[in-house]
Amino acid sequence: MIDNVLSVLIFFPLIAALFIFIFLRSDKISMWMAFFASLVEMAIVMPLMLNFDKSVAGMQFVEKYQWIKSFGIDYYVGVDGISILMIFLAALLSSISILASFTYIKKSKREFYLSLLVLESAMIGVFVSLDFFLFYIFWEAMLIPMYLIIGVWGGANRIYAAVKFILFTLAGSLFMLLAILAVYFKYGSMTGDYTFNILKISEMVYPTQFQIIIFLAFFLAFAIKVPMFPFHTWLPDAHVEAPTAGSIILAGVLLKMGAYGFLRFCLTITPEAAIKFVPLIALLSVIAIVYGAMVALVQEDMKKLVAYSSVSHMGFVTLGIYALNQSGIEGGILQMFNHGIITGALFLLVGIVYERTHTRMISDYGGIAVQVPLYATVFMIFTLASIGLPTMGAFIGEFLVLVGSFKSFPTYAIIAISGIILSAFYMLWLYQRVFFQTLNTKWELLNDMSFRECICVLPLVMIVFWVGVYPETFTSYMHESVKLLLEQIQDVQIAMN
Amino acid sequence: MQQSLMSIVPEILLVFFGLFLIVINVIASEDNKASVGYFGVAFIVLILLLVIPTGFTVFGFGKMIVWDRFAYMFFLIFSIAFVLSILGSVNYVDRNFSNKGEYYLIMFFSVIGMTFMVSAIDLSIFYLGMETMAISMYILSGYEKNNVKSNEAGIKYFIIGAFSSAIFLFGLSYVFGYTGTTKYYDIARIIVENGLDSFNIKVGLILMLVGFSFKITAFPFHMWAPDVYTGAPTPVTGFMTVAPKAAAFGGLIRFVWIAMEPAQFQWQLFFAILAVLTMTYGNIVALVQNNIKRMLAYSAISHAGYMLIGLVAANELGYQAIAMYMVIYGFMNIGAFTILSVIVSRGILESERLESFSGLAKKHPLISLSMLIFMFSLAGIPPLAGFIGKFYIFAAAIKSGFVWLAIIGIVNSAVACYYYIRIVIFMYFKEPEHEVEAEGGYVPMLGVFLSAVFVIVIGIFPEYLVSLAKSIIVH
Repeated sequence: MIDNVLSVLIFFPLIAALFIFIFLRSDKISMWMAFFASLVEMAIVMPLMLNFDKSVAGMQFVEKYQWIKSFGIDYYVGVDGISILMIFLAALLSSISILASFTYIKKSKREFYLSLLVLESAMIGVFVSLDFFLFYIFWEAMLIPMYLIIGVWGGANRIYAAVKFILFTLAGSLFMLLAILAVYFKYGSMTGDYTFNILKISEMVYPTQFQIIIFLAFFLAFAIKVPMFPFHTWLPDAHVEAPTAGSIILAGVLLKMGAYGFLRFCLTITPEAAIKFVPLIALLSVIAIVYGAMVALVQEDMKKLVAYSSVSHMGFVTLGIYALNQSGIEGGILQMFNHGIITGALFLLVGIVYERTHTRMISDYGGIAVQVPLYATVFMIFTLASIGLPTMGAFIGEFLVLVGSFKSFPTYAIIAISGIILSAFYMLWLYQRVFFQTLNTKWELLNDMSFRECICVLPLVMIVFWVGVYPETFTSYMHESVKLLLEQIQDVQIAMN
Repeated sequence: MQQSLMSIVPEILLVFFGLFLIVINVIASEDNKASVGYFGVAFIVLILLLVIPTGFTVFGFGKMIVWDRFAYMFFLIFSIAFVLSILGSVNYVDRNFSNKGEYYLIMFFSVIGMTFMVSAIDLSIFYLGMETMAISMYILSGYEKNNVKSNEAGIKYFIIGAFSSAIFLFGLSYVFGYTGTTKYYDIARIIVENGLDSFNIKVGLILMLVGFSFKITAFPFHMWAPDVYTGAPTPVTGFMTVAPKAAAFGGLIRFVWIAMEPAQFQWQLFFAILAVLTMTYGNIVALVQNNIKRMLAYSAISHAGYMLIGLVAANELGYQAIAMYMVIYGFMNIGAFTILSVIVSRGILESERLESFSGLAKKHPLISLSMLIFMFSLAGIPPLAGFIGKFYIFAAAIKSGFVWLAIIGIVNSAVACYYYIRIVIFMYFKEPEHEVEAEGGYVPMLGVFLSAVFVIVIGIFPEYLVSLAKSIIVH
């Protein structure tokens, strides 16, 4: 069982979805069944986390079966310190988003939960694939359920948002496909061994010119997904139109795949090109941090505000990764995790109040803290967490990123700090306008959070404080893997000089 | 002599069973003509199995014809297209046609012509096969007697088909005049000996390639295709976009690989240009169509463009990729056309309008799900089969160093997603506007179900199909 835990993780949600699709007709039972399946999935992640050997840098729980022999394609999965937190995040946020949708989703309920389960399978598949072909299949398979989630259950302008989402991501990933094929043939012609094995392909040193082309193709795919500054325009639309569950998954997990791709592919396959492009990417990251924060400042719509704050926070992630040192990369990964939890929670909270009031406009609110004290408290926790208050998760992540990036590019690090200040500005201002000031009489009968909603939020609150107080629990997973990654890059750096 | 006979065993069997099918047609009562179709399906499957023991790579009649794995693979494609089209059309035939039994017969006989096209290594045999196929297709596209559009399609196809055959023959006569032979291997030998400088051989080869381009609907020789595909009865369109095109591709691959092997650089350039134009034109025009049938017609043109990339690659991976693409394309395209043929709109609206698909998911969830699978597969999104096909085509191009062509192909695939997904948008995201029924009964649904299952299975476990394709070699 423990040897095949990754396959179980990938296929369990899919099988659960098939079971529901074939055998269950009732919306209510399907809904509970889907939630139950996602809890079981969480329960399977736990032994994975506990049995993970933190002193090993390489891949663990590896499974490898021949799949398409004639093309050197294997079913090859494994997990290391970089991907394990992402798997945890994907499983956790899937359960929460299913639970959070019980009353939010009103039409075609059964299909909605099916889409979420299929999406969960694909997400976990992306993080554990060690074969390029397999990776690409999961990467693209994710698009279909997400597209349906935005397009069927989204807001008023959902079709526009869904099409924009899918066309942006597809355009990027098709270039990634080209890059994958090019690397495949290059590796094959250099060694005579045609394989899609990511680990083998990563070990090879490619000519500089070739690396630059490959890097740019990968960069386009991942930068759209993250999204980095000039490629971010799909994100606000997708977030605003998506239902709460869609936003949680989108912000919590899908955006992380871009950053994960940078770590897993750009830094290992094309290290030389990555080092060459560091100044550009650092610049784009800093622009994203400041620009995202400033645009968030002027938003009227709560969800749009959180969406733009995502652009800003993801800027920290890419800044940390491309600092190319231990604290930078670890901070980046931790920040990915934090951002998933905090932004996921913020979207969840916005969704909770939207379900009652059917408006997301900040100006429609005011003074509701009196009516909904519990909700106001939880929102305060995540407001502060998002700003990066010490003892909460984001502080550790941002701190590590800043330490790392200060070593590599001090000016950018200093500018990035202004992003944190701006985040305090927009988040606290949002909080003030929504919860304080005089009570808008429309909301005199507003209900506080229900028991189910509290259950949704509780694990997120716990994790935020856990990361803030004792980050070692989470960073200890990644130490060795990041060290190994950096050793490879430093060899290249030395060779380049 | 015995070897010669062995090389045409499949065609002999096809003719024999075809004649038998005529007898069945005479016996079958008027309400029961569908049985002719079912017998046709059974015969084709039987022949597929029967020809395996004849062995492979048998040359016949002094190297005029060859039966090899390449021919068998294409015969398999025709059989798939035939079986799926027959399953998809039994109810359509009963509803709309007056001569029911002959429909199945003509479709069966067209397969004979196609089989000759892909096993010929001699221009005269190829031409005979092509005409057998083409004449059957002219009749089928005009089969809906009382429908003006179908008549128009038949006439148009006939005139332009005859025109393209004439161009092909004109080129053939130049080639024959220059080389004194119609056999592919001899043509290649003489081109190597005498070079390509002569004006006559240049004109001859270019005209022949133009003739081929008509048949594979490559831009700018595609202009008959949208009207014919739209006008022809829907199940026939499904068949036409797959089988005759596959046959033309099969013949073309043999011709350029063997006879024009010395002129490889020239025809690579010729088809590279055509590939770019065909893909781009098909996709851009498909973007603005509101009639699904017409949209799929343009999409068929753009898919011919993708397949041309495999031809341009000019390596073994390339033609293997084309063969694989054709199998996959057969499943997904005929599946989509079958769905199109069973959807009947009750209002003033034409059944094929995009609007008649709005909200279909609520009323017919399974049909919509299948259509979704076909559309995402045509768009090339994994883990569906269409992705595997595109993957191999682009892999072949990159292997030969045609990265720019692969990039253009990929940009085109991204553009194409928009119009395939538009159908999904109408089915799933919009509310039902019109009274729409699915009239087909179980048999067409069986065809759709088979296609959908294969699209998924090939997408996830492509190994079998890949190894089948890998075994083919052009002789």
